[in-house]
Amino acid sequence: MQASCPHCKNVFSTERTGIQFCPNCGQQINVPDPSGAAAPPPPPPGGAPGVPPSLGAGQRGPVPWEERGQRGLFGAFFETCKMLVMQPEMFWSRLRPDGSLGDGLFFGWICFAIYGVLNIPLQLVSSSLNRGSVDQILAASKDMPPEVRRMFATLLGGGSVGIIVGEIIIYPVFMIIGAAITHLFCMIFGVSKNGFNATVRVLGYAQAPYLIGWIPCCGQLVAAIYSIVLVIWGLARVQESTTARSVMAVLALPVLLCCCIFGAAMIAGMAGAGAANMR
Amino acid sequence: MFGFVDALGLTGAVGFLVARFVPVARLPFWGCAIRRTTGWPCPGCGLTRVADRMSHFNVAGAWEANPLGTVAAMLFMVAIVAAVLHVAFKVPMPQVTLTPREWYWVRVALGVLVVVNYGFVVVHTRFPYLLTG
Repeated sequence: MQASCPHCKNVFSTERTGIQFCPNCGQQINVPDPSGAAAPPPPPPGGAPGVPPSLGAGQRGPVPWEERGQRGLFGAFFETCKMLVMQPEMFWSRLRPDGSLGDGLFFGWICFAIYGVLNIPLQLVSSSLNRGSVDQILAASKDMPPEVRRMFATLLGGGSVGIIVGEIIIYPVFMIIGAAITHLFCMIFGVSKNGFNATVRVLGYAQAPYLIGWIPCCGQLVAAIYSIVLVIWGLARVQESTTARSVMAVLALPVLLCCCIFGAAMIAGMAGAGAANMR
Repeated sequence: MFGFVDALGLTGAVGFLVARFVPVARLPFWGCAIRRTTGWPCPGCGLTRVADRMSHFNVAGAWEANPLGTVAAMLFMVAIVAAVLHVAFKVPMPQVTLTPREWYWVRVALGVLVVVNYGFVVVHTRFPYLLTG
């Protein structure tokens, strides 16, 4: 049969319906059944062993954020956040895996921008508190050029408003990088049925908890943990896989590198605490 | 139009740029805490050196630090080239579709590679005389 790619408008021949990749642009597309019938049989009660029951791509509907034309930007944003926090199961079961990559990215960007702006006062306070410790840590580093030392001092000290604004501007790039690495592990653990777009969309929408990340003391921790939970939950539903595989895909890299990252953070923290005690 | 290979290319490009121009390894708290406290490396040990050396096109040095990391870095370089060709010149990306059985063997091979690579890193770090003879 002939199919047309909605992204590049290329017409190509294929022998099957459903989700597949355009041979011209490589985008994931959903080729509908020309007969209009032959809907896939409903899953058995409770789904296959280990696989949660979920809707197929054709049975899902737009989430509130993707209806912002009708609902308005603020209404759609508020409804999406509410649904993600209060009814995540319903949200992920409804999210189309073949929707626009930009929708999820834009939503995540707005969440991070709100978090970044609200977090500026806290960042400035922590920057001034940590200045001494950071200077002490950098003083211990040998053969570092002065300009690099200044750059690290600014970055590690929590930075200025300019750096925070820069982080907000560059955030989509880092989100795509995060999505690429997450999707790589999704492929390894078999959580990539619906392609890269679905992973980006899940990661974007899972940034919603960061709206409370600016709350001092517990906000960032709660936001980070709930965001990881949402990513795991979302990947399991949107990529139509099991929760166990999703957990492995999301946590494999942090576990693999934990000794480096957490170890570095631990040593930095201990150095900072030691420096504070000495004073 | 932006796909997975493009995202991998972007990841590789940002990683190599950071490795080339930001000397993160010179920071006093950078490094592996496990290796620092126990003397034994972790599976990710050497990856900073791989990124640093590969960004300076020192493949032999990178291989010495972490062979599997070097292969991954090379694949990221391929992804950068593929992403540039795809985004700038609209070159179509090859589609590789594996059956569940093929995926199973890919996972087994990856697991074996990670273990063998870790063995090399451990021998290189703890028992270097075994490699030099």
